[in-house]
Amino acid sequence: MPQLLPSLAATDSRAVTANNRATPLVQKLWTRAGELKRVGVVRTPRFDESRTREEFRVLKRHMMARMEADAGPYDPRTILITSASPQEGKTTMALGLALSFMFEHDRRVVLIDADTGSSELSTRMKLGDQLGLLDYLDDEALEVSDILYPTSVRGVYAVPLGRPRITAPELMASQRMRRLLETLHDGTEERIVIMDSGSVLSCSATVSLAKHAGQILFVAAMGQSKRAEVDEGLGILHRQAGPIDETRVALVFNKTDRSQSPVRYSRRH
Amino acid sequence: MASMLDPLFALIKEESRRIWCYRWLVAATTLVLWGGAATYVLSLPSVYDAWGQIYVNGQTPLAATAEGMSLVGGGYGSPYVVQKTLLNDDNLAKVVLRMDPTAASKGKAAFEVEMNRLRRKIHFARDPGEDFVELHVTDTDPARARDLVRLLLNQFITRNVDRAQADLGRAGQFLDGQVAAYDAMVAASQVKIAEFRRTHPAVAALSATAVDNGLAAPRSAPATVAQAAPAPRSFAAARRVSELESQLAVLRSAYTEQYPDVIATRRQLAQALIARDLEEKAALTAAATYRPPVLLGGYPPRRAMPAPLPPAVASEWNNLQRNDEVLRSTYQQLLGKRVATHMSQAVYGADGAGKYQVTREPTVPTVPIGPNRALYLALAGLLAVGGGLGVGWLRAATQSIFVSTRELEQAVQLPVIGTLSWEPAWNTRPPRPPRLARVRGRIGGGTPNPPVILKSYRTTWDSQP
Ligand SMILES: Nc1ncnc2c1ncn2[C@@H]1O[C@H](COP(=O)(O)OP(=O)(O)O)[C@@H](O)[C@H]1O
Ligand SMILES: [Mg+2]
Repeated sequence: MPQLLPSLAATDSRAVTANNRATPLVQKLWTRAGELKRVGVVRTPRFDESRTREEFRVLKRHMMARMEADAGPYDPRTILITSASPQEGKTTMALGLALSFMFEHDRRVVLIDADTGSSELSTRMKLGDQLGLLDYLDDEALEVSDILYPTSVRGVYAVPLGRPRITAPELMASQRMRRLLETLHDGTEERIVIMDSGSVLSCSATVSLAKHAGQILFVAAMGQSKRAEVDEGLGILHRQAGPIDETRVALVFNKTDRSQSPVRYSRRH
Repeated sequence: MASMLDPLFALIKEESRRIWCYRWLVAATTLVLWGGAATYVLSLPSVYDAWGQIYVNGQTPLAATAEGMSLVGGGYGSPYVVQKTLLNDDNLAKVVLRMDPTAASKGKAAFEVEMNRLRRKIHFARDPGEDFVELHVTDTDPARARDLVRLLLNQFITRNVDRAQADLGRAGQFLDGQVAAYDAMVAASQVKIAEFRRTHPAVAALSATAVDNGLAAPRSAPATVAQAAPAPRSFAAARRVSELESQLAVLRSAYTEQYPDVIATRRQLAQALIARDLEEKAALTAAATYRPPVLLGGYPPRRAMPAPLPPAVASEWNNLQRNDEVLRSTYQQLLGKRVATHMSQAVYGADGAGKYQVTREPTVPTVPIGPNRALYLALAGLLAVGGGLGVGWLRAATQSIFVSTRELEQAVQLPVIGTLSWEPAWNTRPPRPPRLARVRGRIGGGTPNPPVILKSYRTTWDSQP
């Protein structure tokens, strides 16, 4: 059903044509098993809320400003979302940001579930049992298009985690991972890659991923994140994933009450 | 002004937010604290208040007598004194022993403790203007409270009566001695006057004329007895009159005119007066018929103008008479006081009813006066909430959670580029539906709420399976 994908651009490096003509990002609509590819469900309840949209918009603006100002060695379009401890809202943030970036014209978003601790994002997208990132990194025979799934939201694509492996941290630190990201950024289309990772203190894979990320969004939750843990998490990132400074890392304060929101809209606005 | 207070408001807001993050801990701590306090308060025994009332008559014979007599002293009628005497160690020790005979064997310290405990249970109430004293005893056992009041009242009354009797006895003894001494002094003075008369006949004649002309004061008349009249007899009659007069005065201060004693005393007094008049007349006759030996032959017996006295004799005579006067008036007062003392003794000797009157007998209280459990529970609730808040705050402080963007930014020295509000709908664990809906769901009736799907944006993949 290629007619269903009129605006999708090419992605696989091998498929990039000489004249850089846009080709569909998701080329394969059938899985290796010969079934029709599943469609990832991307939804964030109440994203219709003007307040929520505005809050994500504020975050998005900051990140886009960095993308434009970038001159460093890392590609700022690769965003890693992490936090010190679990349950602070990384997955929520990833989904919300994906939706927010989707509003930008001529930008595509690729959501990667890289949380080896709990593949919450894959599960939420109902892609939990599909071929995914770890399979791709482990199996040279797989192509990017094999693990790239369309989602219920136009312009947002998903890469599930895949079957878990004990070598996950090493796989994510590998060159193949770097190449995957490069491939995703290839082409004329502006693509933003959002990686939902595990918490720094419980997932060593996150540190490996941080080495590939141009921007790291560090989530802290009000009344939940502890100072010592945040300090330690940032310290680990700083020591093991290159210098952490404000050009690369930004924090976001989650689960605040509305009075702290920079967006002063009421619900019914 | 507002800008000055802004940081304060911000701080309060932050701290309350911090505590809010540990609201469950706060609630649990509060509940536990309050539960503990409530158990304690409810287990407190009820306290009962038993009380008795005594009337301390400030105007009794004793008080009347005691006025001006330092030996007996005042203060018998003062409720303050009642209070003090009731609470002295001696009294309390006796009460403690009565309540618990084994207390003495427990050692001095334990006994002291017991006494202080008793002292704390006792308190007084009184109307400011009246002589009623209310004695209250609070105890967890209503019957014991009643017994304590009764014991204390009895103790107080017997003790005071004893004391009053002892005081009065001493006063009586003293007065007896004084009366005897003055008796002798008055008699000596009389003898001296008689002697003087004998040696100075002119004086005798002067006084006889004075009596005849009614010039002499009636009170001094019986005293100007002639030598021939037997002085002690005449004096005994006068003494009887004085005694009766004093007695009457005392009685009148306490009783009405109709009181039998008053009537009897009046009758006795009348008789004594008659007797005294008779005696006086006899004495006067004797004095008038008496002729000193020097004058027997010469002077005409009546209406003779007495010769003027030589100045030295006149002054000595005056001195003698004044001295006699003073002695006798003091003697009269002493007699009066002695009578009053004897009467008071008699009054106290019975049961002290004239002085202390139990106007309300203590009864076993049925309604406890305390503890005020509702108040204590409310206070405990307040304290428990305070404790809970404190614990919550401490926990938040030790855990050092973040409650504001400012805090987070200060702590990590990195930019905080945004916030995301708490959105209840995002909790991946959906809230449990109400019980009824759950039951209906189980029996296959209702439909669960459909998940909210982002519908606003048409997607390419909507038609996909
Ligand atoms: N802003 C928010 N408002 C309400 N609930 C939130 C918010 N952010 C996260 N949550 C909830 O917190 C829990 C953890 O969120 P999640 O995004 O899965 O955290 P993580 O990926 O860091 O483990 C989820 O139940 C999620 O619904
Ligand atoms: Mg997650």
